[in-house]
Amino acid sequence: MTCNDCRPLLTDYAHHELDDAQDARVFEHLQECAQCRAAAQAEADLTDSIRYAYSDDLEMPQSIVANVRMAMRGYSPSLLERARAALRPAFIAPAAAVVLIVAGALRYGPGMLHPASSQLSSSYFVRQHVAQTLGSPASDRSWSAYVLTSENARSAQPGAQ
Amino acid sequence: MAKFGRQTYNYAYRLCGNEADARDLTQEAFIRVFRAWQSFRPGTSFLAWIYRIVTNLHRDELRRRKGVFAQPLPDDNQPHEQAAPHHDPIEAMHERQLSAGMERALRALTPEQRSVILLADVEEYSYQQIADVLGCSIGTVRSRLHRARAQLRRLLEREHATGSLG
Ligand SMILES: [Zn+2]
Repeated sequence: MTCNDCRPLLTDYAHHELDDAQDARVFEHLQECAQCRAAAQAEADLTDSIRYAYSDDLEMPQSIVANVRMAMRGYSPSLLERARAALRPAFIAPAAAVVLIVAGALRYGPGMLHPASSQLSSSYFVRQHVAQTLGSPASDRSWSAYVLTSENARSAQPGAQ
Repeated sequence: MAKFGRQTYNYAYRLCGNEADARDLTQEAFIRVFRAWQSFRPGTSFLAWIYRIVTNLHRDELRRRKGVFAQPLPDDNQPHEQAAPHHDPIEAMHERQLSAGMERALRALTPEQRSVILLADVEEYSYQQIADVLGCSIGTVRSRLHRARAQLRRLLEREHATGSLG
C-alpha cells in the first residue's frame, strides 16, 4: 500500500468501517510510515476534539415531559386509524392533528381542557399545518417518510388492503 | 421517555445549537413517536428512530423558516439565539465549557454535515446505522462524513490563522 492509497482510507479506518483486508493493509502501512501515522493521529485528534466540544450532557427540561403528556391527552388510536385509512397519505398528518384536537375536546370538554395544553398542542399542529400547506413539496414527502413508515403508508394507500 | 429523553434532547441541542429549538424538537419528536408507536419495529434501535425524527424535523423547520421569510437562513455561525431571554446560568456555563473555536467551526457546518458528525463521532454509530437515521446510502454517509470533517479542518485552520481561538 502506498501513502496515496492509504490517506483516503484513514477516516473510515478511524471509524472502523473498512473491511478486514483493507483494515489490515492500512494497519500494516501505518507501522512503517510515519507521515501516514501522523495523519491517522490527526484523524483521531479531530474526533477527540469534536467529542470534547460536545461532552456536556444536558439535563432534559422537565417541561418537555409535561408538554408531551398534555399533547397526548385525548389521543384516540381508533379515531386516528380511521383517519389514516380514510385519507390520502399527504393529508394524513394535518388531518390526524385535527382528529387529535377534536378527540381531546370531545373527551375532556372545552371547560376541562387546560388552557395551556390546548394552546400548546394546537399551536404545534397549526404550525405544522401551515408549514405543510405553505411548504415545499419536499416537506410533504419528508413528512410522509417519517410519520408514515412504509407499513403505515401501505395500509393508508387506497386499495392496498 | 426518561430513558431516551435526555439523549434525544442532547442530540437535538447539538444539532440546532440552542435550547429553545432543542426543546421544541424533542417535544415534537416524542409526540410523533407516541402517535406512530405501532410503526416501531421491535429489534430495531429506538434511539436511531427518534434521532431520525429529530433530524427530519430540524431540516423541515429550517426549510419552513427559509420559506416563510423568503430569505437565506441566518449563518449558523451567528449565535442568533443569543439574545433569547431564557438564557439560564447552566446553559451559560455549558457554553463557556465548549471549546470556542471548535464550537464555532461546528456551528458553521451545514446541518447535514453536523448531523453526520454527531452520529459518527459523538454517538459512535456505524455507517449503516447512520444511513438508517438519515435515510441515505452508506456511500452517501461516507462521502458526507469525509466532506464534513475536511470542512471542519478548514474552518479550524482558519480559526487558528486568524488567531480568534479562545
Ligand atoms: Zn504513508
